[in-house]
Amino acid sequence: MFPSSTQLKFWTYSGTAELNRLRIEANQQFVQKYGREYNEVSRNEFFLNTAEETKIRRHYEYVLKEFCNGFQPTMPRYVLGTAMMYLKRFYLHNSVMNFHPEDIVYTCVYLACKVEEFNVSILQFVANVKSKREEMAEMILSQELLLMHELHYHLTVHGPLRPLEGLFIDIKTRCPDVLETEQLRRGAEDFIDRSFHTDACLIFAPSQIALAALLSCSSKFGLNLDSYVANKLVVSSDKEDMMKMVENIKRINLILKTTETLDRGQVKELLAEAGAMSQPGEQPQE
Amino acid sequence: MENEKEGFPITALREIRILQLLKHENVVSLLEICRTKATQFNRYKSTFYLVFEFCEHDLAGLLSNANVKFSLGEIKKVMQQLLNGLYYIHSNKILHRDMKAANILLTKNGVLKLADFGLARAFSHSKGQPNRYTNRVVTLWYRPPELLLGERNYGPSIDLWGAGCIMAEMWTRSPIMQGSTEQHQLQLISQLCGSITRDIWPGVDNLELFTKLELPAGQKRKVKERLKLYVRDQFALDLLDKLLALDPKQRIDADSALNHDFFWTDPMPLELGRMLSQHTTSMFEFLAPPRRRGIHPHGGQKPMQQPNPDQHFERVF
Ligand SMILES: Nc1ncnc2c1ncn2[C@@H]1O[C@H](COP(=O)(O)OP(=O)(O)O)[C@@H](O)[C@H]1O
Ligand SMILES: [Mg+2]
Repeated sequence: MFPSSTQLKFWTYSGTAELNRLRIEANQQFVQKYGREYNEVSRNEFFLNTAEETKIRRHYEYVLKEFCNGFQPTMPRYVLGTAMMYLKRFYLHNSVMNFHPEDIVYTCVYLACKVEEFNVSILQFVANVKSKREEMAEMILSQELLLMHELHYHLTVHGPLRPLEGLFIDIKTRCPDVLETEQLRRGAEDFIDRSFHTDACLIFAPSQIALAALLSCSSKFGLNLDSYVANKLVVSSDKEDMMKMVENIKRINLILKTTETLDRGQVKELLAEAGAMSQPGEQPQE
Repeated sequence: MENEKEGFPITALREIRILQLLKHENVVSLLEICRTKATQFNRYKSTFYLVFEFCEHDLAGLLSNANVKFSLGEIKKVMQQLLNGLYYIHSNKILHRDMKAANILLTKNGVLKLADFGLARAFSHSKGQPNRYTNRVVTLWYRPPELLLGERNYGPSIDLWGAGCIMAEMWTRSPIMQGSTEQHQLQLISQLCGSITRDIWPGVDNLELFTKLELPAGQKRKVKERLKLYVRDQFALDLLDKLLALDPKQRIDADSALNHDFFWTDPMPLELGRMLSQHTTSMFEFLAPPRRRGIHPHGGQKPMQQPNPDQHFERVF
């Protein structure tokens, strides 16, 4: 189903360079719209640049994850993946200065709950925040359509967890001699969890991320799945496909390795700065 | 968007996602989604529009027009495309849940499209826990016996019952079982398909309403016998009989139905373009004169149970 999905067609990019270009564009668009009266120097001082925006967005990815993990009733894992993808897609074309991630994060999770058929009412949902529940409910309901629109109504998200499950089942049935598959689960899920905080899901097929996850932790266990991959998994495809896949898996590993850890203290300062300049009156009416 | 306490309705979300997933010659294709801007003139409520490819006809409209005559080959073509569409959506794990002639569209070139996925949803073959879908789906006259008896763990076979009703309608030209209540619908079903018993439908007694509703006893199955007044083709009668099986487990699935001799014996399925080109104006049901007036016991009452009338949710063609 992924090959015919809106995810592949509209939301899969060539690499980090393309993603960064889009983010710079989103940032510039905002700065040009609201920064006309400033000269260049004060403009740079006053507005966030793309790198700063990225830090803020990444901070909210953790906020999103923590919210989902603490959610009552317990939320299926793929709701988190879907909400995370919404957040990432939203800020590919929008600046955090225009739409505060604090609002967008909860709206993403609420929409993801519905789309993934994890049925909670809005009241149950906001019971998970500490205060201002009514305001939160109202905010979510007022932002939901905006979010859907910005996602171009492409609401189906294919995450790596289901393909990972598929790989486990496949290995268990076709390679019964690999005994430690269940041991790999923790490590593989951990890898996928880390991948949520990178751009990997905007570049690679979920099945490739799942495979990268599996291979990365199998090597840690001293387990060699190469022959499984080469002889069983991709037996039908030709050499070129195989090379491509190997390269993609290397790229996924590289993205995970090179994505810097986020200094969340630093983000707090940035946020204070951004808060000082929010222009509620000028936000586009949706 | 009015009075939506929970925001954008989940049924509409499903419809959008399902339409985006399905890409098949025999499934209507969604071209675009538009919304009106929220302004003071519409009290800040935006309206959503789903924009579809245009189809000139719907099957209900064609059937209610006495000038439109389907030959046996053309009926085969209609049913073949309908089952092809069902086969495709079912292989994509989607249930239509609102099969009826008004939701079957035809282009002027005779290509059939399943439409109206407003009640559709994804299904899974449950391993551990049984599914608990709502049974308040499907327009009453096309609703299969298992739903009427309260089944919530149903599957693709519910759409094939509807396909059977529609197939019969190709000859009778009006819906074959026009019940006024769920009880009445079950009565009509029993009169045509025979009494609903544990013998012919093992496990039916586990359904919630089996003991609560009054089910006619001692009825013989008369599907072939009664429909043969309209349908002379033996293969057609046999396929109808298999589509209208009471027990959903015994009901024929779309794949096997497509392999049925009905489609592989002379006259073979025949393109509909020629016949339709003689009827150049659109024949949507809502443009046609009201049909079956007087047949319906509680005249005028709409036998429909749409659990979620999404007022704001318009379809544009
Ligand atoms: N793509 C289309 N082209 C032309 N007419 C259509 C199209 N889709 C629907 N219609 C007409 O509109 C009617 C209602 O549309 P439908 O999608 O079934 O909505 P509803 O949920 O209101 O029944 C159909 O019975 C058909 O006559
Ligand atoms: Mg309809």
